[in-house]
Amino acid sequence: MKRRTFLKTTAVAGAFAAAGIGSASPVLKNLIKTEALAGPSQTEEWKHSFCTGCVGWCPLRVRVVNGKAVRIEGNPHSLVNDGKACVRSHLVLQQLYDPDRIKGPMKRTNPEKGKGIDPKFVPVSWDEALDTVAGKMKELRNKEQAHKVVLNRGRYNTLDVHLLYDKFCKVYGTPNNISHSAICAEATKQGRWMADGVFDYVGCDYEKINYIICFGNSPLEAHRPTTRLVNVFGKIRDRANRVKIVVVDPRFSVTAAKADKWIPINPGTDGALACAMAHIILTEGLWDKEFVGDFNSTELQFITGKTIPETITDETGEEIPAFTENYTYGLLKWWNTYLKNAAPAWAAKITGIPEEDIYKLAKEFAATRPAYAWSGRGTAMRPNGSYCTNAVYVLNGLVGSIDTDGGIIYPSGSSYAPDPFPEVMDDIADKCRKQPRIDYRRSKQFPNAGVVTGRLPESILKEDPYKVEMILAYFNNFNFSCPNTAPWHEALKKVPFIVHITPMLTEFTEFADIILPTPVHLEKWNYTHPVKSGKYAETYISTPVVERLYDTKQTSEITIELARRIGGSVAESFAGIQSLEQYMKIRLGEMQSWDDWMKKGIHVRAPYKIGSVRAKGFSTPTGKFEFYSETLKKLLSERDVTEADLKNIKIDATGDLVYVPHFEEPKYLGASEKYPLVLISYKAALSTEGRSGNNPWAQDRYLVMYGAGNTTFAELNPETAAKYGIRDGDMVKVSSDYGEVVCPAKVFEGIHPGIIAMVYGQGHWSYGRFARGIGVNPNDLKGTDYDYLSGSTSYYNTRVKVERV
Amino acid sequence: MRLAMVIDLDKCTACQACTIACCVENNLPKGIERTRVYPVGPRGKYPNISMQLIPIGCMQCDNPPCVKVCPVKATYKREDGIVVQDNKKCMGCKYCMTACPYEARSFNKYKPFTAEYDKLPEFINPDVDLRPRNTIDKCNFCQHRIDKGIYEPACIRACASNARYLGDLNDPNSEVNKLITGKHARPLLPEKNTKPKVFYVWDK
Repeated sequence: MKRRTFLKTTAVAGAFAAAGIGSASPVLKNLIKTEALAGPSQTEEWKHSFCTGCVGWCPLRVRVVNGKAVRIEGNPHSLVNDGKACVRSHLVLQQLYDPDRIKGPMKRTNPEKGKGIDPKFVPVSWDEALDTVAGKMKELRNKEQAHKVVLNRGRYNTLDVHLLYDKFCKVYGTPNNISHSAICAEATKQGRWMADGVFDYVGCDYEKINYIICFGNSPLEAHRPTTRLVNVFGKIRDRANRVKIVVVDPRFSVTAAKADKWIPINPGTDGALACAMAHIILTEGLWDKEFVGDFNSTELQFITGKTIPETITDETGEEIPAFTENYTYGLLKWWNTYLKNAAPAWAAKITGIPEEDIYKLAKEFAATRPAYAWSGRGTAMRPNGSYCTNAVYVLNGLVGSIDTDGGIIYPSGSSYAPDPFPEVMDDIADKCRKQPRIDYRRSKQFPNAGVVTGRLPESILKEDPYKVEMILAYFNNFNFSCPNTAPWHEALKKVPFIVHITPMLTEFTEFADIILPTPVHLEKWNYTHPVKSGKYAETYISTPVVERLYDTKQTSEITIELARRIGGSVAESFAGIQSLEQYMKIRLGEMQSWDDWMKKGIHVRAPYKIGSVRAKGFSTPTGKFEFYSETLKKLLSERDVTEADLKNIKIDATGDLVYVPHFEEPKYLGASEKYPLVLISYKAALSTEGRSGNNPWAQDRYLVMYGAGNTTFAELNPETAAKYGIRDGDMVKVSSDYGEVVCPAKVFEGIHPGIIAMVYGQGHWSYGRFARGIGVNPNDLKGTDYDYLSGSTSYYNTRVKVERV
Repeated sequence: MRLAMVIDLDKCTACQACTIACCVENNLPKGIERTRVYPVGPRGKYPNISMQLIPIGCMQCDNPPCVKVCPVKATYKREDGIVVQDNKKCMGCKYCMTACPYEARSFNKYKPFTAEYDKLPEFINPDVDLRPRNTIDKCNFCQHRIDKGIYEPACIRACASNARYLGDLNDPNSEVNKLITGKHARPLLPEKNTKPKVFYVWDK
C-alpha cells in the first residue's frame, strides 16, 4: 500500500470522464473455454477433485502438466457454483506443495507435553505407528473402556464420516465422536429450527432476492458455500432490478463496503433490532397476508402496547379466532407475550441504532420483496445466539420469504447407496456405547446440542463423567481454533495418548504421541456433498489428481487399517472393503455410472420444487412455521428442563416468553469496569477456516481492507483509540481474564467504538514456516461460554481492555 | 483489434481471486502483483462511511508513456493493443515505472519463489517463463493464452462473481463496449491522455 497514492486523491472522488471508443472491427471470439496450451513435450490432463476450504467443498478441475498440478478451476458442470471456484481454491496448490507438510508417520519421544515443549518427534514405519495405535485401542477395548477413546474431527468429507466418524466409532464402541460442528454455527441452525423444525443449513433462492439484510455475517468473506455466495452476488448486482444489501454488524466488513448501507449495532443486540422490525411490520400492516394470514375483523389491528384478544365474536354471535393464520402458528401469542412492547424506541436504546433508521429498515425490508433477513455467526455464536437468530429468522416468515421464489427453500441432500458391509456389534461395543458422552449433548445443560466441542477441556480436566484415556483426532486444531486456548493445552497435556491424523504439524499435533500423516485433497479418493444453499443438491468426487508426494495414508485408509489390526468384530465390519475406489463405487453407484463420475466428477440432482414444504407442511409439531415454538417446548419437556434449569443456562425468559422470538440481554465474560471493550473476531476470506496460514498467496494479502498481510491488528474506532492514547500502528496489549496478546493497533472508522475487532487465523506457535510467529490468535483472549440450547461455543462475548506498550 | 477490459466494481467482491490466480498463472515472485485490490478510503466518519476496493493493474494504454521512455524497446504495444514487456531486453532501469501514472509496473527483486521456498515449487506453470530478477513486471492480459486463442486471462477465469470482461474496443457489439455505453464504464485518470483500455463500472 505504499504505492498508487493517486487513488487517494482521484478515484474516491469518482473522477471518471468519458473515454473514446473505437470503430467497428470483426467480432472477437471471447471466452473460449477449452484449453490446449501444453506443448508437444508435455502431457496435459484435467482431473477432478474438490476443495476443502469450507463446507461448499466446491468441485474443482485441476490442470495437471507432466504429473504436476499447476492450476485450479471450478467444475463447469456445477450448477451450485456456475462452474466457478472461489479464491480459496487456488490456495490448494500451495497446500499440496507445501514444503512443511508431514512426510511420514512419527512418534513422540519426549514424554513431557505442553505449549512450546519440543515433542521430539522421530520417524517410524507405518506398521509401527498403526500397531501402536491399534494396540492401545485394543487394550482399552479389552478392559471395556472403549468409551474412553474420544474421536475428534475438524473439516471433514462424507467418505471419512461414513467410515470413521460413524461406522468405526460405532463398532469400536465409543459414543464420544466429537466433531467441530459446535464451533462452526450450530446456533444458527438452532434458531431456525425453533421456527421451521429444520436443524440444518438452509437453502435460499438468492437469484430472485430483491432485498438482503446481513445480520452479523459477511457472506462475501466468510459464510458458506463461499463460491456460490460470491457468484450469486455478481448475478443479483447485475440484474435490471439491482438487489439492495444492508449489513448490520459492529464491524465494517468487506460485505459492508460492498453493501448499500452499513448499520453498526451494539454487539449481541440483533434480537432487539429484529423484534422491533417485527413490531413495525405488524403495526404498519406490512406482513405477508398469504403466508401469515389476516385478522377476521377490519376493526382489529396491531397497536403498540395493546393486547389483542385471541377470539372475537362475529355478527352471528359465534366465537371465532381474531386472526386466522395460513402457514404460520402463534402470531398473536408472540404479539401479546412480547412483541406489543418491542417498539423501535425501546430497541434504539438497546441497539444504539436511531429509531428512525429502524423504522426505515423495517419498512424497506417489508416493502421490497422477496426480502431475506440473513444471520450468521455474529448473531448466533454467543449466549442465547439461538434466540437472536430465531428473532432474525422469523422476519422471513412475516414477509412471506419462506419456501417461495426468492426466499428460504428446503432442498434435499445427497442420497448414497447403503453400506453393504454390516456393522458387527459385540458385547463390548454395545456396553461402551451406552456410557454417557463426555460432552453432555442433549442434557439439561445443552438440551438440543448435536455436539459440544467446547466442553472437552472441562470434561477432560475434571474427569467428568470419566477419564479420557485417548484422543484420535483428524484434520482439526481445537487448541487453536476454539476460544480459551490455555485450558485446551492443559486438557491435551492430561490425556495419556493422543493420535493426530493430519497433513500439517499444528498446535494440536504438538500434544500428539503418534502422528499419522494424510495426503491433501488433490491426492485422494474421496466423495462429499456441499451444504444446502440453493435449489440443487450436488455430490462430488475427488480422484487422485497427482501421485502422493509423501508417505501418507488417507483418513479412511487409516480407519480400515486400524480396524483390521484391532481385529474381532471391528475388523469384521470392515472386512468387505478391498479399496477406497471399490467402496466409493458402491456408495455412489446408484446416482450415475462410474464412467459418468470419472467424466464429470459431479452428480447434480433435479432441483428442489419451490413450495413443496408449504404444500406438505413444516417439520414442526404444528406443521406450521412457528412464531410460538411448540418445537422448542416439546424438546424442553422431553429433556425435563425446568425454569430453574433455564436460569442455569443463562436464559432470562420465563413462561411463554421462552417459546417466542425475543431479546435476551447479552451475557459477557469479564467485568465492564475492568474490561470496557468487547472483543469481536472475524474471518477473512483468505483465512480458509484457519488453514491458509502456511500459504504465502493468502498470507501476503490476508487483510484486504487494510491492504496488509502477515499480521493481526487490534482494530479500534478513532474515538476509542484516542481515549486510550493509541495511534495507528502503535503496539498495544489486549488483555482479558483469559489471556493477553500484543499486536499493532489499526485505527479505523469502520469499527464500533465499544469493540476491538481482530481477524482469526494468525498467531500460530506451531504450523509451517510462513505461519509460525505471525500475528496473534484472538482465541487466546476469549473465555469459554456457550449458546447452551445448541451447545455452540461462544466467540463474541469476552470483554477486554487495551493499552499501549 | 484493440483489446480492452471492463471491471464491474458493483459485482466485484474484493475476494482477490484475480490477484492470486494471476500469481499462479504467471509464476510471479513474492511481492509482485500484476493486479491488486486496493482499499480506497474510508471516506466519512463513523458510522457514515464508505470505502472502495479497486483491482488495479496495467491499463493497457493506447498511448502508453512507458513505451515512450524505454531506452531499449523492451516494452511495446502489440497490434491487438496489449502493452507487453520483453524481459530478454529489459535492463531494469525503471524509467517505465516512473512514467506510468497508474504505478502499474513493479520491479522484480527476486527470482520467482526463491524468497520463500528452498527450491522451486512444483506448481510452476510450464506455459510461462520464470521472470528474470532485476527486470520489470506488468500485466499483459495473459498474452500466452491470447496467443493460443484463449481470450480469457487468468483473472477473468478465476473471477467467481464474473466482474471482469475482456473484449475488442473496435467491435461495437463487444461486451466491453456494451458495458461502456450501458453501465457507463470509465477509465481511471483519463486526463493523463494515456488512453487507458481498462474501464471501471463504479459501484452504486
